[in-house]
Amino acid sequence: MPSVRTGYVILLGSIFVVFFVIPVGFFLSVSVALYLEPGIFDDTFTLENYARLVRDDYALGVLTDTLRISAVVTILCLVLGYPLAMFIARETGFVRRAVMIVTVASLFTNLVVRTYGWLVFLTPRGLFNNMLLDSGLIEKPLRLMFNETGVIIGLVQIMLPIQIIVLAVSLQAIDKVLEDAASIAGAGKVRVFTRIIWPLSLPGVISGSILVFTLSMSSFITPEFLGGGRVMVLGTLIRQLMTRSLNYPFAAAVSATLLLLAIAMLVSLAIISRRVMRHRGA
Amino acid sequence: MRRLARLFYLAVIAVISLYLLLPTLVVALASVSPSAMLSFPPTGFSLEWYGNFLARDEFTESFIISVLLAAFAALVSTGLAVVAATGLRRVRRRARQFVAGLALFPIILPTIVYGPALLLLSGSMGVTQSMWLTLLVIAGAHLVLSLPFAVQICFTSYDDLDPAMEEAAVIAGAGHGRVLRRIVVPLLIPGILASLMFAFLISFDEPVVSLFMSRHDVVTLPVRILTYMRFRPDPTIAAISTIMSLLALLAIIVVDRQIGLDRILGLRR
Repeated sequence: MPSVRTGYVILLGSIFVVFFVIPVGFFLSVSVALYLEPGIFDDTFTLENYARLVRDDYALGVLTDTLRISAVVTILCLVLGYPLAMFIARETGFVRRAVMIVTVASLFTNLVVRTYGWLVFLTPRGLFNNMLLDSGLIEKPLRLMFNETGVIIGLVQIMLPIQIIVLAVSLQAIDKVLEDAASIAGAGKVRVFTRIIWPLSLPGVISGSILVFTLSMSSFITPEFLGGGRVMVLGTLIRQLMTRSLNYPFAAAVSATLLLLAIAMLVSLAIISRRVMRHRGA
Repeated sequence: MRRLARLFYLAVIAVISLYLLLPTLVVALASVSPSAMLSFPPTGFSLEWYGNFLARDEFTESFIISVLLAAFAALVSTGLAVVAATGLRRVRRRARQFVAGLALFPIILPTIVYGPALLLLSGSMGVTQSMWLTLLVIAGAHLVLSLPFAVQICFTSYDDLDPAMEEAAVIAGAGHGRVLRRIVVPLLIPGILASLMFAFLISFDEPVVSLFMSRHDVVTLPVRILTYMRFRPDPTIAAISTIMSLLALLAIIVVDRQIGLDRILGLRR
């Protein structure tokens, strides 16, 4: 039935063209348009919007803040995710199943709901501060929100399940015979870890970290609501340019830069995993 | 010493798991707390906020919009993915790879870029003037965002099928349509269910595109929660959030029973 098949391909293709290729293509093309006044731009070709991203101290600061926050989130996710991934990969039984359901359930809990939970928990008169105040540990509420600390606490919780799952898959692929052999040869637990498990889990560590970094870099809801306007990252900058300053060309240039960074990260991920595959195959 | 190390390890696992659960637990606690100010241990129990959710039209309206959008995304993306998985098998591998690659592309695209892109184009075309056209754009965007997952799940679950089953049916004289109806689709049911569920959740949970495209009469549930969070934080949104978390948990338990989380995540057991 070639006609049905052709029809199907046309249907799928047009959905993609109409709802994806055209809007994104149009938006990217606006990034080289000339900004005139709020809401208005001219289709004269200019690279001014990209130049501004590098020249303007404020915009450049937002870019470096975004990269720094994403790096911190990535490192924390790795440190917290490794033990849990190890547990899922190596244990059996009820507790493992519970840990796995907790991980997947938090992955599938709405981002907005999780951000709201952190808001309730961390706010100056919120649950956490009230508990500390009641117990007499502190006298004034801690500032855990509307600053970078709050954004990082929230983002790590959101990205952690992804790192755990990627790590667990790669840890499970390690042949247990290797560890047993090392132990029999007299290696202690620490040595087995540093010489066998860690090096063999590196592909998982790298791909999990690239994923977490990329997603953190393009996060918007958590920095916007836990940062309370005091933490600017690329996502919140785009939102501000689109809805407040109405500088569409600059918003498009920031978006294009973000997209380019994301593609670069994922291409490097693809190259790394292909290398690993070839290595394993050989 | 050994036992102590083991205990320490288990304690670490427990603390990190608690961290993962914390926001959901806090929201659940807030949803049944009698006062808007939260304290621990709780001072009482009240279902007032759940009643509030049902009583306020703007919440029910948002709930209906979100459910309709999610049902559309789930049915259409799963339908397209099943056709691609079963129909493109005998076609050149290139066509199959093309569909898989095409569908994977939106994963790279951050929604914070996609949302503004949709808003700018539909704004300049006047689409945002109309409620129905706005809904159509959000529906299309949710479809694009859920397709990668539907395609991934349906392709994997079709590839897992034993080709001998189909061959046996063909040898026994069944036609193409009959093989599909009687053998392939029934065997794909767990995959189809998982795909429906994932796609539904992706659309139902999606906040960014819906936020950019929102207008006074097109506010999805996540966007409604966001606006309340900013302007009038009140535990009604905690009640809704808890219902949403319970739905997600239910979906995960069903997927675990039907297919097994290990298989979905790529863990061998």
